[in-house]
Amino acid sequence: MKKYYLLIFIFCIQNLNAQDSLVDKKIVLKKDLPEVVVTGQLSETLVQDAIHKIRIIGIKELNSGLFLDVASVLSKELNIRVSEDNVLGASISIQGISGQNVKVLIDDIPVIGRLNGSIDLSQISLSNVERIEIVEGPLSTVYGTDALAGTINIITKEQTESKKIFTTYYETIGKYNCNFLLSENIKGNTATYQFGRNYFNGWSTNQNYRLIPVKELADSKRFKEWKPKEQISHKINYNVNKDSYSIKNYFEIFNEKITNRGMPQEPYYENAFDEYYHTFRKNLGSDIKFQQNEHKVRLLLAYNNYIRAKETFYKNLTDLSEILVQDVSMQDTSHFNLWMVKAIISNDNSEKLNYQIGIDLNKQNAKGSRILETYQEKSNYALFTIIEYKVNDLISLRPSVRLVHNTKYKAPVVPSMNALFKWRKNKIRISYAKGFRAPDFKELFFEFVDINHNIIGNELLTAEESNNYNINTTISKNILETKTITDISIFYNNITNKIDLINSSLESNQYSYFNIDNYATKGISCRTNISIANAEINFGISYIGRYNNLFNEYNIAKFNFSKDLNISALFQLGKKTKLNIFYKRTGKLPKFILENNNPIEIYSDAYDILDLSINRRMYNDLIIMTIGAKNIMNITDINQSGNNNTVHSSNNNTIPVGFGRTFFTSLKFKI
Amino acid sequence: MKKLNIIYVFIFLLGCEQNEIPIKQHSSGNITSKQINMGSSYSQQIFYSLNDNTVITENEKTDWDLAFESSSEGWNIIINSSTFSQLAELSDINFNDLISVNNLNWRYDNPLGIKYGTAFKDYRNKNSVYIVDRGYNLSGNKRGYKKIIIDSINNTSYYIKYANLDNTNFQNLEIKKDNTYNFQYLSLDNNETINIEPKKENWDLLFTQYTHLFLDNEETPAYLVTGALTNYLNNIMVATDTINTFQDIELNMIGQYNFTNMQNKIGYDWKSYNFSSQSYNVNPNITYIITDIDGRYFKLHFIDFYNDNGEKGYPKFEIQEL
Repeated sequence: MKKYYLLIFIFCIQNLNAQDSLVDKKIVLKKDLPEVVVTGQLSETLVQDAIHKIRIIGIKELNSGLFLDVASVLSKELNIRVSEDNVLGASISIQGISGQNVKVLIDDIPVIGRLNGSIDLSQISLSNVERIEIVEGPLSTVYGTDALAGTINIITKEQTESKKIFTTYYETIGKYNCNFLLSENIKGNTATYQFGRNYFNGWSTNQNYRLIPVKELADSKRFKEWKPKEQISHKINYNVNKDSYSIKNYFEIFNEKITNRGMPQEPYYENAFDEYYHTFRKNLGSDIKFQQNEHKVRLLLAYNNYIRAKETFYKNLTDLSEILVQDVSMQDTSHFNLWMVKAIISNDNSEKLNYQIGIDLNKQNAKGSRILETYQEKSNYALFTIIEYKVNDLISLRPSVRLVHNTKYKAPVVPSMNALFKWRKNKIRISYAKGFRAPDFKELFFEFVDINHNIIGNELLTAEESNNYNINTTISKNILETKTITDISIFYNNITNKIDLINSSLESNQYSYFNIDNYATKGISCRTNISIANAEINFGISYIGRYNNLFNEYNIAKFNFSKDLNISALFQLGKKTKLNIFYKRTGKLPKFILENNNPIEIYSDAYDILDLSINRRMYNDLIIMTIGAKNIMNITDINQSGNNNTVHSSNNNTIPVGFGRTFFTSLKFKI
Repeated sequence: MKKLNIIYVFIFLLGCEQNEIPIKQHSSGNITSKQINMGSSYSQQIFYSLNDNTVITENEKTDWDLAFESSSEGWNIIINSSTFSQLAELSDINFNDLISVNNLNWRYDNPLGIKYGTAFKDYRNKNSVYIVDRGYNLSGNKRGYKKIIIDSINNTSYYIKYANLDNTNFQNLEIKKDNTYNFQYLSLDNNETINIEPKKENWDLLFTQYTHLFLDNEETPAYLVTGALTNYLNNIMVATDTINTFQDIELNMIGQYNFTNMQNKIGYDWKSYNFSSQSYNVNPNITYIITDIDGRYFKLHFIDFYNDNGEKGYPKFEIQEL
């Protein structure tokens, strides 16, 4: 690999124009620039002034070169856990609440396409992302359904100059990524084209290292524990910026293919079932902003299309011919569409009282053989209003409410109340918010009845609702050159009407969805950020309890607690070199299961992920080279087991959490 | 600049999905194999003969409802366990009474064979009314209920009457015995006996779905499985060997096997469902040693459950006479 890079360097040097500079002056100075946030705010707000506690994953983390997609960078965050599934992708939980209750936005526009309720965050690339804003707790008044446990808002970089950027990435596990960006400034407007390709060749434990993929014999090694995956994306932006208005248009296509080559079948190993999972996304939209007197008006128009298809082929390994299997349960295609219009009027000029009023209209449909009558649609009409009232210099209050009408289920009224107390450089934020999650198409309209299955949706479902209480204090201190910010949060979530799949009739063995469950989480987390001249260090610890639903019937603890820890350290070594270290300890997670009508406690073990990278700017800052190592402690699987060894072996299994130790190198350059 | 682009593209196009190198096909030597076509919804019942490695007859599993032991001294009645049929006995009611099918105590035939118990049990000195739940049709819907009374039985015939639960479609039927068959099969749709099973001398194995009883599982004590049953009434005996490989088993090892004539000795568990791959795996390491009334010995093991199109329901086995 090194040899190739040398070649690239040589060509680069020949072609470089010394006046070009890849490093944005703004980025160099970023450390001292104020950080702005938008998620849930009336308009762009300084992060320290926002009434919500908003965490930012910014340019420093994103430029470390360690993270390729949203899932990987979130996995280093406190209060967030990421779990990987070979086929369903990466899903997250926030504050101990699972991914179906997490809202994912790109530039304020919701991402659709949930599998088992969760959005695959490994499908959202970090190339051209400026920052990620994370709000824990509900933001349902602004964003509606799913914004219950938290909201992840991915803010993309807005290109304003003409430039070309190429990035390549290679990781020893067999990942080959490249992407490029072309942007052109046309009379003050910017057109941008981005292309990305991420290829992963698949991996199994004990597999030999290879620099490039090669043809392999179709024997039992063809089956990979981590499935080969290819993602290709194209995105076009066209931004118009005028004094009185701005229009941002985008069109995006994303394709993903996961290949699951099956284990050859005994006894002759001549046949196998090969599965292909395809995801197709198409997103199209406009974000229009203009000023009308003292009012800011924002209009968001979006169309999202999501298709997920599974194909199963029966492959003859002696001649490599394959045939599509006719069994309907082995093929499945689902289509989802979302049309959205969101119009917001805000006033943020007043010293005392500011407000925002918005309407949020959307229509969704779903098509697929496992959807009742193979087609369903629902429409959602919402009106929301936010008031920010500055009582005095110390206290600000923000009540807000959302009214929703949905054509297919009864939506709740969603209020929230936030308060911010400022005292010198310290702040206390207190909030109460109601969140909700609408029953999805599957829960309402699923229909899967054959000789082995009998699962149907329930059209009478109502929304899952939550009440969230949050207290957060931020203490800032400057001692000489050292700046510290300490942040302590306490939260409590209580979810009612939780939807679960249960056996609805003993006679027919039929399963359906019901608003039957309750759930709660509570916890405390503490984060400290220390910046000194050439370094920034973050340290965090959290303690989260998840409700134990066997608590009522048995004499056991009401909450199962886990302790997570993260540390990140970024050092500037000289003028051109940066060292980035990210560490997270995902603590032991206990839970109770029933065995012979006795509750027994089982654990999934703690594990530590340590990543490290070095960035170096070269050739007049035209090239940034990154080398690094991931998962330095070489973690692959963790055990899930009982408290002692006498527990039945059925409870002892392993959960894959990583590939083990890998090394990577990446190169970013401008032409 | 162009050269740079070319190298750039070159390196990263190398990271592509590669084709595979095919493996060599195995050679089967002098071992014969047979694939049975049950259909991917297991709709067929297939009667097979070891002697000439052929299928004798086949029928759709919903063609019949009840089967009556056909020998002159026989009296057992079995229900169609391939449709997940079940039977309830009501001892103190009249035939014309209206009956609710809720809260009945349903019974099944023992898959080991009639001498291990049937759902009808010994009905001969009782005046019970029996409710037949006809199980499921090929598309998974209920086939409905019938009520039935066995009036009398002698060396040549059974005399029965049956009707729908609402007393419509009342039938009075004589079912004639025939010593050359194990059972006489009755269809409650056609109200007549029909030919299902070949003459008892002419077949050895029946590939079919049948109801297995998991007596230690409270949730699903009875479950529909797919496998092979034996012509146990014609004294087909089976032993299993999981230690020696199929290739290694020879005639001189016969003495160490325990042969039994349980109907489901081959059964269904030569394959298992693999939840992670969502497909069936056969276990080729179970070899079945089968002997017929002529004293011939055969070894048999399963090598596939799929046809060349990847459709399930096509058990394939290798067989060799010892």
